[in-house]
Amino acid sequence: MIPPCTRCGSELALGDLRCPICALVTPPVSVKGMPQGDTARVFRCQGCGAAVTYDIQAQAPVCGFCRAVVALETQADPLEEAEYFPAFGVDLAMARAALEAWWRVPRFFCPGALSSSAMVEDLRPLRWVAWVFDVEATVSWAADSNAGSRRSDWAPHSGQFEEQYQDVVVSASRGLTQSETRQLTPYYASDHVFAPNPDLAMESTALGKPVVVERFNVQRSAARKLTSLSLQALAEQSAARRVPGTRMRNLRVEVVPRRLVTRRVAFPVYVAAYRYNGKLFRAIVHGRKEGFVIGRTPIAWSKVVLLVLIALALLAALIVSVSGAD
Amino acid sequence: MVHYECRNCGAGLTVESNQIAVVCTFCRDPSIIERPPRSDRPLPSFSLGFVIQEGRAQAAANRRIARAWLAPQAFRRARAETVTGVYVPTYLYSAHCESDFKVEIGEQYQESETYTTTENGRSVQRTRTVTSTEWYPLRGRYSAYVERVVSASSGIPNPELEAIEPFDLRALHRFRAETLAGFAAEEASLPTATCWANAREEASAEVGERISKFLPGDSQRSLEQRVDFRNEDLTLALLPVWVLAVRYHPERRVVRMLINGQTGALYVRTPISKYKVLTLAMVVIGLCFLALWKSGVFE
Repeated sequence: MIPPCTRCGSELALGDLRCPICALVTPPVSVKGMPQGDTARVFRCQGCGAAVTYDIQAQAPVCGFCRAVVALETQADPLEEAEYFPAFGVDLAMARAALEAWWRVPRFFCPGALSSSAMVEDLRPLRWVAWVFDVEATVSWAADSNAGSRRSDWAPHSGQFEEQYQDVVVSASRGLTQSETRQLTPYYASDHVFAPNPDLAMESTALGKPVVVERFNVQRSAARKLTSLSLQALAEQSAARRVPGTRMRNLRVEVVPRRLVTRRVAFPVYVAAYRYNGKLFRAIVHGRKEGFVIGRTPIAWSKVVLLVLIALALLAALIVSVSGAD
Repeated sequence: MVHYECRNCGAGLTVESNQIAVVCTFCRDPSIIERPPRSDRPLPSFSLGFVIQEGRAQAAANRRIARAWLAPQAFRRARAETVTGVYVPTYLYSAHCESDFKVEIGEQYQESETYTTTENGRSVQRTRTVTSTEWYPLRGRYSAYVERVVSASSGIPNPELEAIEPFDLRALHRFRAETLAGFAAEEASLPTATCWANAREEASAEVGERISKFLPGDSQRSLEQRVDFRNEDLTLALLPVWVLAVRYHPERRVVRMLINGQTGALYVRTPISKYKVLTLAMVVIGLCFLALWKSGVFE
């Protein structure tokens, strides 16, 4: 367990030379074994005994003869990997039933024959990946608003507040859109998400299909940038609620995060591909909330045309009645 | 000066007392001088490796010399020589800042104004829209984390280091003496108290700039700030810099060029030829006269 940063309390990962939030240096290496007096030393290769010099191409000290490289402790920037795998609460049969029920929901622009004619092409369990972070933040803000303005439309205001953000989800999924992940996240309860991981092999067997787990495809440094952008956006929303008046402009926010803890989660969903009238559509079935489905549905163009014709007829009638009154 | 014996060939080496890496003149063996750390001579925590090769640094320097139009011809014909890769001691400063500010914010508004003018020999009244500024006092608090790099070397002062910043500190590695082998390196030669003061001064200036950008309104004036730095940290790191010398006249001082060993950013105080400046000024004045004469001002 790596102790958190002593300045801002944020968690540190293995290989952090400085705190990614406040730049405080992590504990330095021990200086034991240093010489007591001044000594001049030639660093020798452990293999062949030749002198070692720093090599610009290798970015490390390298032996000039046998090219052996001395390993250096650098800032680690590994690819992110999921650590929490909340269990599926919806099995394959329940997911199929939810999809069929979703087809039957009456929608005005949807073809009436959807529930009877749509065919499931594929329905597979998938885990989409995201960062979930908790953080405390001091937010300083400044903005112009109409409150207190005199001859000008605007008057300046500023303030500072403390805020806690918990279980903020930042999607790292490439397969699911931002809109889809935003709709799915409220239905993952944090006690399920951070419960001990299920046996993933047994889960695949129980579901009858292998569970595809998305990869983050993002390095730690890029992930930290994304979460800090997300925190900035949240702070702007919180600050906007505190600006007095009914109109504002030039909202500026400075965030000082503390005790930032980030967890990498692979959330369960089912991705369904269904065919209607020869065309393929996609729907997402929630992996924990029973009966929750989002996705695209086909459009009944005959209904759209009919609605446009009715609107045109009403408009024409309105024009005739207005001109008749003149 | 301190005397050492090369551990490879036994030759006597004389080095500056603040040097920590040296290459033997006789056998080219790179030696690192290790001394126990003291409060006024801390061990570096980090170093940053060179990325720019020596040949590339020299070529960049020569391109800059050739482009120095206002420099003496002798300088433009000279070439950068004695290229030395130096690990410059610097302090990485970071802190949590709490700042109280007081400022006047200008908000613009437009209003109609009546004025009298003469048209066709008659005095007439007209209206026009003018933009005015209304000033509002604003007090507030600004909190942020700040991070600065300051030179700890008396050889490369802070303004010169700033000229070749930034360094990408994500590539830092934990200090190991082997990384200095083959390059020159020196210990922190400026007193730590001076570096603390320089770092706080730079951080204060940065906070001022950030507050200025943070403020709303159309304009601002009379910004006053009181900055309190908390949980400060000053850590010694060695940063890579190519130092090149340009000797263009036997009686003039050697011109020093600095190149960021990681990004290639270059700093040089180019000498200026007073004859060239005088000629340029005369040409500009002549062209101005010519333009005025053509426009008929002197008729």
